[in-house]
Amino acid sequence: MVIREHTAPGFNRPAENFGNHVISQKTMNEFYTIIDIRHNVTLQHPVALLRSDFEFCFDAVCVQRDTAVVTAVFGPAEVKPQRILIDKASVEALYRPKTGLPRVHDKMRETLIRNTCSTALLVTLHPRTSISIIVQEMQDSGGLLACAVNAACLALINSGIAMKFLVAAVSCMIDHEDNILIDPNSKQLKGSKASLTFVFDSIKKNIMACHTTGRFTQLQYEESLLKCRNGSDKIFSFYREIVRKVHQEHDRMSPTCRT
Amino acid sequence: MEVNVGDVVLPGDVIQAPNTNDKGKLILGPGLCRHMDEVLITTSGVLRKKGRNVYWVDSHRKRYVPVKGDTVVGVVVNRSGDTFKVDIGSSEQASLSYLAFEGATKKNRPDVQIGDIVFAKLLEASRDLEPELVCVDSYGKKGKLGVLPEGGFIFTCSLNLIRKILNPKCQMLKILGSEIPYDIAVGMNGKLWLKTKSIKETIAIVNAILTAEHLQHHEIASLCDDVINALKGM
Amino acid sequence: MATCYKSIHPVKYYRDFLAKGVRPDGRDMQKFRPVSINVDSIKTAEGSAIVKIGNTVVVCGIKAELAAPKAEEPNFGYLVPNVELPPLCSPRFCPGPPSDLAQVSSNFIAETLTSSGCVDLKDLCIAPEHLAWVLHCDLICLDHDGSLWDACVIALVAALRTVKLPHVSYDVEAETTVVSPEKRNKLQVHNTPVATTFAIFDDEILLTDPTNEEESLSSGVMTIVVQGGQLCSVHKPGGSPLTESQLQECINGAMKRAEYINKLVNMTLESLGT
Repeated sequence: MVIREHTAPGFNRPAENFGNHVISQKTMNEFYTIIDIRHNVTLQHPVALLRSDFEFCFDAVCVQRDTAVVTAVFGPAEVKPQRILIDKASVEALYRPKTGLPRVHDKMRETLIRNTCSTALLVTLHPRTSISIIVQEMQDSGGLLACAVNAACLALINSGIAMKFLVAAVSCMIDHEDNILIDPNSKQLKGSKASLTFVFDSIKKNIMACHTTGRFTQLQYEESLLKCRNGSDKIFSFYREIVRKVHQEHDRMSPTCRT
Repeated sequence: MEVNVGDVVLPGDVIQAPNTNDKGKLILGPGLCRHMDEVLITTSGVLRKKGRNVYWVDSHRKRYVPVKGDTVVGVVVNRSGDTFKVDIGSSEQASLSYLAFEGATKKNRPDVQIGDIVFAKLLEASRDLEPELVCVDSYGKKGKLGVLPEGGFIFTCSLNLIRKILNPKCQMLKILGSEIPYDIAVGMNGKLWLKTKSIKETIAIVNAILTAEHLQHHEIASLCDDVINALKGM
Repeated sequence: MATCYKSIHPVKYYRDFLAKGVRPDGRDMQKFRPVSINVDSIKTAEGSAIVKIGNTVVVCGIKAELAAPKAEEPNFGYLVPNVELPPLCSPRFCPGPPSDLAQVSSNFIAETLTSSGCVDLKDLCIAPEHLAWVLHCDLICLDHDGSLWDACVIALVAALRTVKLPHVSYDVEAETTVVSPEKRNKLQVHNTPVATTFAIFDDEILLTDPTNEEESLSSGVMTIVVQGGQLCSVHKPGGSPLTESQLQECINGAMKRAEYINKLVNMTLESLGT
């Protein structure tokens, strides 16, 4: 995991430990909140890093195991005339792979992220504007799509844009002995006969999006769905934890936030 | 998930049974919306309540969405016919009529050039319409609004910081002003305009304001003292 | 009157119909549009098929080419599906580079092919490390009226089943290739995946085999690929959330459809006398 160490002279605070959550605070215009929750067995080490030092840009680094992506959200901003929608904001997702230009495969990810986020966002609140979600792949060690969706959601949370609900993505695989494994890494994925990624909404935990590769039976599908849905609870509580930590920091820093 | 006042809330949460005995009247601030009989949260942050029935969500934001009645700092970027276009940092440029200045008539046009900085009030801000600015109050007086003098410095910060330095509890601008003479215009859109006697003082004040983002009030006081001492020492 | 109403308030127009349990084109929610298949329609191609689902028309032509296999996969051939959405098929598409939908479709078809394993790429290898077949599967949409992927998958599988490759012998020592076009072998197609698209209207009503209009008014689409009682792909790229029971309903619908479509394709191929 990459944590940039910045020391701004004068107003530096030491990193503080809150149990197993590490929060480090850099001042001046650097503000990072690093939250590391070690989940027991299923979802291993999702780490989020929220940063808010860009102009109008809200970004989140989401690290699940070693898979890492950086996402940024811009908007509601001015929209190109050809993309303008008169009754809602036009949502666009841009996916940048680690190397080279975006390929056909990345278009599928873009479509999935865009459709998922535009359903989760209250797009009708900002007509004739654009909301862009930029996803930059940093490292892929399995479950990249799930990580990208979660990072996009974190960035949206961080941006303060109005949303109907949150989304959480969980990936799983079925190996040749028909075992279902949640959040597999790339090594485990090599010995898989199918891999599935589900995206759930935060209210009813229904299926927002689904992407699968490989063959499986209906029973296996339902079983994986159930396991992933249980896993999604962890991600939703992780989101809440992050927001809590960020606001604790803010509150500690600025009593004006209190009433 | 049901939440209470003071809780950390996420989009999709529902406010727990808001008092409906006050003739069923609730005032919903930013970050809340009504869906059927429930009040839903739409932005993440901390749920706040004021008085008996005013609710809102405290959240971190950087992008300005125009709100009616806000005073903002903007740059005149275009002039088309009878109106000026002003960039106030929102998704659409705001319009400012040349008649919306003190004493302006069809013959007596105000002297506004492209590139000028204006301090104006939002007369109209609806999501379906272009935001409209005015530089006069309802009595036709300019008050503190209007074109800002030349030689100032404009910079941007988060919307939270603006609310923080405008909070009456925050003494920052007063403390700085007691030692360094300066003019400042703070726009709710996250743009600030600052004019001092020297570049040195400008840089010092800009840095002090931007540093205040994550500081507590008593820390701000000591920060201001540091800045003043540093300036005097030079 | 009805056309006026439809153009002014298309969503409400649909809602009024759906409240009565019928769609504007007369179908009920679960009903599919008629499917017609024509195989071996393009004589210059190694294999071809034209599929029509309602008004949606997709032509699939398969051209074979010889090439050296990839160094990392010396005994695998290539199967390259490409979906083209020319401006003539719908006013949504402009001339120029492939649209996002065309790229996503090509990717989906490629993923379906690998997931189902209907063509074993090893069958396409002639001499390991030296020579293998490249099958270019060009899917051209002539009329886009919804359920594009359903038509693409049916057309592709039907076309693959008509492919006859000429016999090729390769001499490793002399590095010479002898192609005998008069001696042709049928391509082994191990199984037949079938895709079925569903649209979600107003967050709860499931429309089977939607038209283009239904797709654009709906709040989400989902495509399920079924192959011999197993699932090949469940693709739902966002849109409004679905409950488990709705999903099950879709899977069951897709299973039934697959049987029917396979019967139809078999019948068509038999009528060809092959």
